[in-house]
Amino acid sequence: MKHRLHHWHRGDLAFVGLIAVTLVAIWGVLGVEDDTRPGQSWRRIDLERFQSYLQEGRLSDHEASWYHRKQETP
Amino acid sequence: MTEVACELCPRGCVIPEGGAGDCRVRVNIDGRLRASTYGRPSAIHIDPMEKKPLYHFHPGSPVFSIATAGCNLHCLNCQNWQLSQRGGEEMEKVYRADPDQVVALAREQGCESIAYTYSDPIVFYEYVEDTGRLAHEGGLNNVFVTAGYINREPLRRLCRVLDASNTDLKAFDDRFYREVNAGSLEPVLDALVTFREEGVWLEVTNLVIPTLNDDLVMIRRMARWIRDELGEGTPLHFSRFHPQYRMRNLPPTSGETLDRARQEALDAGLQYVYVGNVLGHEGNNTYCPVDGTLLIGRIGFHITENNLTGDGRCPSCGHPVPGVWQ
Repeated sequence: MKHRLHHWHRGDLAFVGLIAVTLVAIWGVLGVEDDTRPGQSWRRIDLERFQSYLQEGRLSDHEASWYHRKQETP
Repeated sequence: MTEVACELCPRGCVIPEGGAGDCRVRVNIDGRLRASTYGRPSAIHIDPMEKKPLYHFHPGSPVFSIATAGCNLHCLNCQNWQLSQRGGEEMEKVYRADPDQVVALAREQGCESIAYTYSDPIVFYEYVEDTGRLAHEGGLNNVFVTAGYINREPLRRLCRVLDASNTDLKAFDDRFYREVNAGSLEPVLDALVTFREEGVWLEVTNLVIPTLNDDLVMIRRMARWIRDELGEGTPLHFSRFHPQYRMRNLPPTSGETLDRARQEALDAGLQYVYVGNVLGHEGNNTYCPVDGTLLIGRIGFHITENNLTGDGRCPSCGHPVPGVWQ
């Protein structure tokens, strides 16, 4: 028993590694779910449906105020 | 591909082409942000002013009320989630009503005011601004019913066309805002102060939810903040919670809890503290804070008696009651 407490085995390291990876994953998920941080939140929409609603006049293409264009990405 | 950064609310969404903001209705099409529900309301009703609730603003008058899809908060207890938690392309019912048509309809229906309400009108900002401008030209008032989760500068500009607001202060606790509403407290406090600074008539609503925001110490802190920052004459409405949407695990707020909250706010120095969603409660009425005279009696949204003088004073002692009465 004393021997087991004082010496690390390969299996112990793997177990500690697994715990660490799990904690990082939990932290990552919780961080991503905090959508109150500025700039972190946007939503995918059904673009096809949106475009068809736009063409039918059920939605508007009125330009919004209070925004700026950010960057061109290839 | 051009991303756009929305500056309207504290979320500051950075939206790629073909995506929407967190509100679902401000959409990046070809590198330009579109207010997709502009002129496309999904709810149109005529309500009494008391339903907003506004008790000190044109009492008893009918209000032409409109809303579009979308919201920038995601409250677990939302009572209009079928409207607020959807994008425009998810709505079955969409009306076409440009600002001039809204104003014409409101006048035709004999309404003195237009309310932007139900979902949060922040997300259809441009529609409110243009309709509000035309409404003023036509002699109508504009009422903004909101959770106040908006940046200061856009709100300041919008205040030019607003006459009154009922703003939700959901809890005096940032953690509550994060966990229940997916928002934060500070911008809401800023919005309340901005309404006051810009001269928009302001009433505050606090929905009291059992175990989540009914702590009397927090209610006292909230009432003192309202007294100090907004003024002792600011009406505060404590509203009864009913279980719905994603918060069906809690019971409705008890009458005792609402009574205690009201008393706490009165003790903190607020002069007009109401209880809502409880039919026939004493806290539906307006009393003179000086001599206790019944000034306006209400049952639900209906006014049973109005004893205020023409210029909004107590008929017994002459105490001026803050509000917009005519």
